Amino acid sequence: MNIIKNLYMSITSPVKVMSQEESEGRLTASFLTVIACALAGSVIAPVAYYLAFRHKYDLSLQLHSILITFGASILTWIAASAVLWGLSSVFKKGLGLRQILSTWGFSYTPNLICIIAYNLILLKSSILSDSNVTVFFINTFFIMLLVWKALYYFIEMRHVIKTTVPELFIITVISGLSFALLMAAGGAVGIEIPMI
Amino acid sequence: MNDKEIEKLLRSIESDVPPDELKDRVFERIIAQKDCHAASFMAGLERVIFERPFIAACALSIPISGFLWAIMGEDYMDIMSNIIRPW
Repeated sequence: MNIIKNLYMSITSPVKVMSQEESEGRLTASFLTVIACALAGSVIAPVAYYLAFRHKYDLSLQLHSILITFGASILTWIAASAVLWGLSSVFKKGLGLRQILSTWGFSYTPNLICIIAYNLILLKSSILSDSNVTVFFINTFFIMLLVWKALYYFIEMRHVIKTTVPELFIITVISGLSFALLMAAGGAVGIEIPMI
Repeated sequence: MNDKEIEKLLRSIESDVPPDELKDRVFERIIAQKDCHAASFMAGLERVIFERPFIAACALSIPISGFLWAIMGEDYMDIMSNIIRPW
């Protein structure tokens, strides 16, 4: 029950669930969000493409690449959390890796919606040839997801790591570079939507 | 909290409070005032952004998208079709 409550609150009022030092079921809820993302991007999407386009293109389902992208998706979450934890330790914030893992995973909700929307549009790409108004709303929707993700990042900084403004600036620069490397590494193994 | 504020706070506490409870009352008032400061700090824009990030993201995305459309023109409409394309 706590897991469902944490998942619901991570969307409706994330500060309440993320700012607590410890909360029962939060790590599991955070992990489930990441797993849902990894499953959607690495397993469900390739199977859906295959079923939809197998007659149009020369496609095949490769189990090893599915497993690699799935594993890499989980690893990038752990790596991104480790980067944030390492930087918080540099500034002596006294946080445990578990606390970062159990909060940063909630920021994957926009990623999950992005993966679903991206793949639905891919399956029906003719929608992008519709009127400018339709395309404007599609673009706006993806921008909304980007902004939402950025807000989760700032909640993590302000309410979990509790940074000052100079610390926020330094952490953002270093974590930005680290995230870019993780995105590149994820892209190299076949992750289409960045999983950080 | 400066001296004037402390004096005002002490005067605001009821005179019939027994001396041994006075310390607790002062602490209660100070903590209550701190909470008020925190609430006012979180008020307004920051409160919406941090406590309702989804709504804030929805509200921010429309002007951002409109701004990008205004400066990029027709190219803005091709962004998605350039990103999302089957093989």
